[in-house]
This record gives sequence, structure tokens and C-alpha cells, in this order.
Amino acid sequence: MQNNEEEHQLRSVAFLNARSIFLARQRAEDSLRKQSELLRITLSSIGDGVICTDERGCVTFLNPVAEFLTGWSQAMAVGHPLTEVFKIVSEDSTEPTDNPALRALREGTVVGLANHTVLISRDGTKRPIDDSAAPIRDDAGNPVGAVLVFRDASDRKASEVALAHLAAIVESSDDAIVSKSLDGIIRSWNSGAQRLFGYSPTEAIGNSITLIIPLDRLDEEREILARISKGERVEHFETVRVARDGRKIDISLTISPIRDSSGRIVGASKVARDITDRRHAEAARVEADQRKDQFIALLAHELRNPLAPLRNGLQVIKLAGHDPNAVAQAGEMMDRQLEHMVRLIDDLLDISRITQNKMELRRAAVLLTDVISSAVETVRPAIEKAGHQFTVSLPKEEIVLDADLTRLAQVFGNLLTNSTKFTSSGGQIWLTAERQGNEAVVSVKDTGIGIPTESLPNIFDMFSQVGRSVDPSAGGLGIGLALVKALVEMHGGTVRAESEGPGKGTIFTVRIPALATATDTPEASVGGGTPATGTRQRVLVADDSQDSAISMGMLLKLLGNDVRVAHDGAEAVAIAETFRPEVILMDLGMPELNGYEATQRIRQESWGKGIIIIALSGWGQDRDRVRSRDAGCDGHLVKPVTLPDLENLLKELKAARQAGTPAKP
Amino acid sequence: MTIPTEPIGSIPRTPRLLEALAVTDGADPALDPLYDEAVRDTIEQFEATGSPVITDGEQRKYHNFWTYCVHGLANTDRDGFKIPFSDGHIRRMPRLTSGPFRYKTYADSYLDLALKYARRPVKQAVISPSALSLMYPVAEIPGYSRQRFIEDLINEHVTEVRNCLQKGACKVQIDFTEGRLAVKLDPTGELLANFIDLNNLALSRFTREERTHIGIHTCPGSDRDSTHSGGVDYGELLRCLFELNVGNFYVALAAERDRPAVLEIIRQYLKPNQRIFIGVIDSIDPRIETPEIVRDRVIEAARYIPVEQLGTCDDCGFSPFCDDTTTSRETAFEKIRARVVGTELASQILGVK
Repeated sequence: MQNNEEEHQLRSVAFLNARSIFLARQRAEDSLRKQSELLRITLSSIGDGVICTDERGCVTFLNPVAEFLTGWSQAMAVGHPLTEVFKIVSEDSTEPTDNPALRALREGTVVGLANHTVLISRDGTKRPIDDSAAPIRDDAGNPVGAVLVFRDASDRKASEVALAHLAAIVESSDDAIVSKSLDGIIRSWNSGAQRLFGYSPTEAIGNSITLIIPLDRLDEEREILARISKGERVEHFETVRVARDGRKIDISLTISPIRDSSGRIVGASKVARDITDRRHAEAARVEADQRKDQFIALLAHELRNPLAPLRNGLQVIKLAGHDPNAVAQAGEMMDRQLEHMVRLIDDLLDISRITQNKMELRRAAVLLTDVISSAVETVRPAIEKAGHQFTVSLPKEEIVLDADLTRLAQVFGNLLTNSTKFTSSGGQIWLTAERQGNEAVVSVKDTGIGIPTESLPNIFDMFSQVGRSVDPSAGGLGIGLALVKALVEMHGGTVRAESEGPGKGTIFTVRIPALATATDTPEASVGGGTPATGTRQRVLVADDSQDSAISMGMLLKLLGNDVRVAHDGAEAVAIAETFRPEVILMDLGMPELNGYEATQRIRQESWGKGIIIIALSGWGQDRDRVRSRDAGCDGHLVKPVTLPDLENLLKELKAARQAGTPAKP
Repeated sequence: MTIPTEPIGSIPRTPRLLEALAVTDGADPALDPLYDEAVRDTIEQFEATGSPVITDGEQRKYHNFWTYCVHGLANTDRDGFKIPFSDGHIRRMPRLTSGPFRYKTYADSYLDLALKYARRPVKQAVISPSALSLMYPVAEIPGYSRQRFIEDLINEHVTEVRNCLQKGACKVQIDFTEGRLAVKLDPTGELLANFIDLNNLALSRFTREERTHIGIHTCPGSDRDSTHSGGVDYGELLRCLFELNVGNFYVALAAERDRPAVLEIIRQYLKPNQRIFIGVIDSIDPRIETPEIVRDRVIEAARYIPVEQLGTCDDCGFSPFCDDTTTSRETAFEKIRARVVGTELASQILGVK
């Protein structure tokens, strides 16, 4: 440099520049420092835990969340191997798991979120965490450390468990649980919905809810969505929906709005319950109530019906007592009406016993022909009166049944009565019996009014009457066939009704198990007995009802017996001691001394041991019979007592005494 | 793969171009066809030498390697500092008269044409911020502080280098010829340290990856077969040079009187992540080196420098100033050919494949 001044100036410029260079560098360093600080603040502000390591995997940075979750402070942790600070184990096995940051460092790749990892903090606290890690690279792309980001997953885990439980509840619910958006698009569909409506989730989700709404109820859906949009809840809304197979289903709907995290209504959840069974049950209950009401009305009518002729008969007897023919005619009429009332009440009591499971069969080996004869004998007068042609066909070979003769006769009697009532005068009735294998098959066929096909399934239901009797006076409570079915089933059999429809007649077929052959059974036990012959006896009638006592006494006197009457138990004992009756008809419900006590006292006397004492009671249940027997009664008759009943019982008791065996109470 | 070898940059302009430039402003668009022809021809001949890396011979730097970017700026004056050369001639820098400081021409604009013709990787030379920093005068420019100038200077430099890299330059070489001049002006080394600080400030804007494609060239200044600081001890410079935060160094060595001494200094201060390209061609000496001479210079260098950090280059450009016609194009290419072949010979001997 030849020019020293020039050289000096050049140096001056350079040195002046130096100051500016220094300031520029300072500014650059400040900027870098600020960036570093900003980065540190940023990392510290992150809601997740952040740990940075150097290339050896030693900690260089922890943010506050990481400090909290690991229990290590930044000051303590820096320089320590990450595995000391960030201790993680598998949630399932509790074995240490591969540290994601070290793996990121080792493999140079981002290690994604891992599940089922538990972080053990310095104080031993365990927390489920989600974590991910990435290598930190320099400008040349070489790994110079790793950054680990993790978060406490306790809430998420708890939420997942709760959601899983909720999902399981929804999925296992018998009810259909469906969610939909506000535009009616199905968003979820549980198993209950699939069972109820027949569509799989794949078929239903994404479709409109109108998939299951009948066309005539689309307005209803619009109204529901409008209410849901306003935040209202729809509860127990009963409606109809349609299943995939077109079947309409009665359902009860409860619909609630679904809100998003900001509280905005975004859809609706519906719980649908199939109420078809409930509807049927309600319909059945209503029908049963109707039938009961009808029955009560019918019962009142049926009980009132005989009262008018009875009252009339009494008037006739009073007014025409001098005319024996008129009295006899009135008596016959009154007897018929009384018989009708008794039959009604007997049927009611039988049904009551059966429904309360208190009916007991007195089974014995009986001939089917005897059963049928007994039934026919009862019904024949009515058949003949109606002018029906009646044909009975019995098998050549005897069929023996293990049955209660009286009850089974009642079955066929009821069926024949039914045919009589519902067949127009001059019709035909057939009774046919035969053996089919191990069964006795008895069918009663008529040319009557028949039964509509739709009524056949209910024909044996209580209080069921398909149509009006052809004879309005015949009436009935509609319990006859129910009694038939119950009694047949108690015998282990079945009964079936067939009809080709109104006006085409009816066939009732009863099947009862039969014993192998007639010879298998002891003859002595077969048979129904013969009517008792009237002989003069000393009879004491004890009844606190004067009318009952006096009328029974008069009846027995008319039959030629020597009769005394007592109106309470004490009087009965006193009269018995002097009168020494051969038979006492003892009412059980008397004042002073009741029938049981009176009987016991009489039996205690030497003269009283041989007397035949027959209990008379309004109660005929088994327990009543047992009680009267225990008191010392030989027999038990239920009021009102008919003369044949009394004669038959007396005959049985006398026969049993002669044979030295106790009679049935 | 042999020991890497690269040119420094300039090749004497073609005679037609020189004739035109003598009578026409270099920025005149009328010269474009001549520039085109000169670049095409230079690249063709460059590639013919076998040089694995080429340049456009700086055919379009129509003034010089130092002021190409600010030449013609309205806010400059020609009465800047004078740089005296050993043969007595002087080059003068422009002086900034007002702010803001902006380049008029960015070197990446030269790449557009070069890359059009090149089939081999192209290197681009740019001037250092420290060289341009001398444009700001001693007296403060009113309304434009020195501080602001330095910041603008760095921004412009970074923009230029980054554009070159983005356009596809395989290397960007920063000419730091004033480094040795700084030692001459201030033997205390303080001035050199300031220059290095400024350049490092600019280099800090680049990523480590980018810096592997950036290099620093230093030489005693070559112009009209003379230098501006040839007599200055190289050792003072080299001790600081490797503090520059860059991946490559291109150091003139062929013309040095005591190469082993310089190499020893290099050995001491070279850092592991740095590659040094030593000058094996004396760009001032009109004699063409034989490949064997080059080979021997490489082998000599390999005694001091790990071969995996070693490269070769020319000492300097063959015509850093456009009007320097002391070296012919033919000589330049022959010298380059010798560098390429000699480096290859050395590679074989050194077992570099």
C-alpha cells in the first residue's frame, strides 16, 4: 500500500465495520436466544409432558407436565438416562417396555402412540399414558437427540371403560336402542334393534329412520324431531313401527336429544320396546273383564229365571190347595226350576274347585257304558222334550276306565246338554264310543247351529258362548264346556271341537286313556248301585232352619218314616236320647251346640254308637267332609239334599255296616 | 472417484467478447449473443479438459470478481478504496453514497445460461460480504447507518448464495481474497478477525447441509500476473481461516515459496469436517504445469492432509478482472487439464478410487 492515508482509511472502515458486525452478531445471537427461549416456553406450555434427550439418551429438558408426571424436577433429571426418569411398564404384564424415545433415537424414526403403557413416577405412582417420540436431527439430518411427548391417559382410559360398559349395556339390551341425526339418518343400531326390526347394523346405519316407520305415520316422526330439536324429551310414546318382513310391531318409544360437547342438539336417541305381548295381554284382560261382566249379568239372569216360576208355583199352591192336580203340576214345575238352579250352582262350585286346584277325582275302574248310561239317563228327558233324534253307538267289547264315574258322566252329560240346547227342535244327536288303541274315544255329534271357525280356539274358554241357544229358556253360564275340558284333562284325556261352520253342526271328541281289558279289573268295584227301597225308620232331623227342618221332616214322614225334628244341637242330643233314632240328619251350623259337637256327644253315649248320622251342610269341600267324619258322622250331604241322594246314601251306609266296612264320607 | 478437483472460476473472456466490451457497456442487452457464445464455448472447452466440476469462466462478470454485483449501482461512486498490486497497478472499489445497499446483479443470474449448456456440475463463485463491506466510507452516510448497511449486506449475500444453491450450483465459492490483504493491512490480525466474524455471521444463516456445498477461496490476489498481498505470511491468515463456519476451503498454494510450511499450518488448523482444496496450478505463471508436477504437489499435500479431506484446485481464477488478458484461454484450459490429469495420477498413487 503506497498511500498510507488510503491504507489508514481502509483500516478505519474495517474497524468501524467491526462495531456494526459485533452488533449484528449480538442481534443474531439475541434472536437465537429468543428463539430458544420461545421454544423452551412453548414446550413448557404444552399440556402434554415433554422430555428431550441428547444423542446418548440422557435427559436435557423436562417441561412442567413431565416433571409432575415423572416426579423428577428439571434440575434433578438433566443428565440422567431417560430410562431412570421415564420408567414405563406394560399395563398387562408389568414388564418394562421398550422406551419410545430410545427407539426413536436408535431407529431414527418417529415412534407412534403406544397403548397399554404405564408410567411409574419417582414416588411409585402409576399412571396409564399415551406416548410418542421422534428423533431430533441436526441440519445434516443426523440424530442428535430425541423428543418424547406423553400424556396422562387415566381419564381417557376411565372414559373408555365407561364407554365400553355403556356400549355393552346398549348392545345387550333387549330393547332396541337407536341413535339418529336431526335429519333422521340412523347413526347407531344395537342388537336389540336388529332383533326387533330385522335389519342388521350395516343395513340400517346411514339409512333414514323412515326405514321402520309406516307411511301413515311419517308425520309423527316429523313432530318427534321437531320436539327433540327444541330439547324436549318424548317418553313412553306408544306407536307402531314396521319390521323388515313388513310385520307391524306395537312399540313404546322414549326419545331423548343427543347433545355435543358444546350442548348443541345434534341428534336423538330412541329406546324402543316391543309391547305386542303387553297389548295382547291388555286385550285379553279387557276381553276377560267383558266376559266376566257378561257372566255376572248372565248369572243374575239365570238365577233370577227360576225364581219367577217358583214364586208362581207357591202362589198356585196357596190359591189352588184344594186342587190336587194343580198342586202336583205346580210342584213338578217348581222341582224342575229348583233342579235347574242346583245344577247351575253345582257347575259354579265345580269350576271354583277346579280353578283352585281343589277338585279331587274319586277314581275307580268303571265301565265306559256305565258312564255313558249315567250321562244319557240325565239328559235323555231334555233330548226327548226337544224332539231330537238321538243315537247311541257303543262298542261290543267293554271299555274300562280309571275314572270318577260321576265326573265323567258329567262330561258327557254336559256335551249332550250342549248339543240339545244348540240344535233346533227335531235335530239329530249321535253319541259314539269306541276303543282306539289305548284310548276310549267318545264323540258327540249334532246337527246344531255349529261354531264359526274363528271361535273354535276359544270354545272351551270360561264364560265362552258362541251363539244364543236355540231355546232361549235353556240359558246357561258358558262354563259347561270349560268344565268338560278341565274334567277331561284331569282324567289325562283331551277334548276337541270341530265344526264346518255356522249351521253345519258340531262334533266334540273326547279321548280318555283306557285300561287294557275289562277282565283286568275287579268286578266288585264296577257299577253304580241300585236305588234304595223305602222301609220305615226312626229319623231325627236337626236343623236350625225351621223351614228346612220341617219340610225335610214332612218329606220323610210322607215316605213312611217316624220323624222327630230338633232346631239346635242340644235339642238334637236330648231328643236322640229318648227317641233313639236309627238315622240322624245333622245340620252342622247350628247355634248352642253345633252339629259336630252334637254328633260327638251322641257318639259318646252307648245308645248313640249305632246310629247312622249324616251331616247336612252348605259346605261340601273335602276338608268339610273330613271334619264331619272326624266328628263321628257316617256320611256328608251338601244342601239342598234331594231325596234320591239321601236314599242312595242310606242304602250305601247300611250295606257298608252289614259288610263291616266304613262308608265313604 | 478420484480426489476431488475444482476450478476457482474465471477463464479469460473470448476475444470477440473482449472487443465488444471495450466499446460497449457490459450490461447492454446487445451483448447477450456474445455472452451466450462465450459461455457455451467456455463450458464446451471446460468439459473437454475432463474437469469433473466446471464454471462458466465468469464470462458474464464483465468487470471483475469483486464488484460484479454492485457495478453500475446508482448509489455508488467510483472513488472508493484503491487496491494496489505488486506490479504497481491499482484497482479501485466503488463507494457507497447512500442507502439502501442492494446488489444490482446476483451471481445466480449467470447460472441460468451456464446450466443451459453444462453437462457437468457447475460451480458458482460469489464475492464475500467482507470484501463488499469496504464500500461503506469512513464517514457515516446520512440516513443510512453502518449498522443497517451491514445487515443489508448480509441479507444480500445470503440471498445470492441461497439462490445459487437452489438453482442447482453444485458448489458456491465465496471469494475471500481480502483475507490475506487484511493481514497485510493489520498484522495484529484484528482486521482479519473482523472479516471472519462478518462472513461467519452470514454463514450462520445457512444450514449445516447447505454449508457442505459452500466454500471459501483465498489467494494473494491475482491480476495482470501480479498480487496485492503475495508477500504476506500465509500462516497468519490460515490460523484464522479455518474458523470460518464452512465445509470447503480453496487455498492458493502452487505459487507459494514454502509449500510444506503452509501445508504444516493447514494440518494444524484444519478441522475434521472441513475439506481443503489446495492450489496445484499457478494461475499467474504462464508456464503450463505438467500432470506430473500436479501429481507431485498432491502427493506432497497428502503428507500433511488426510486424503479424505483433500482436494485440488487452481490457485486463482485465470482472469479475475475482465480486462486481464495476460493469460490466454488456451493456457488456462491446458493448465486445468493438467490439474485434472495430475490429480487423477495422484489419486491412483494414493489409492483413492
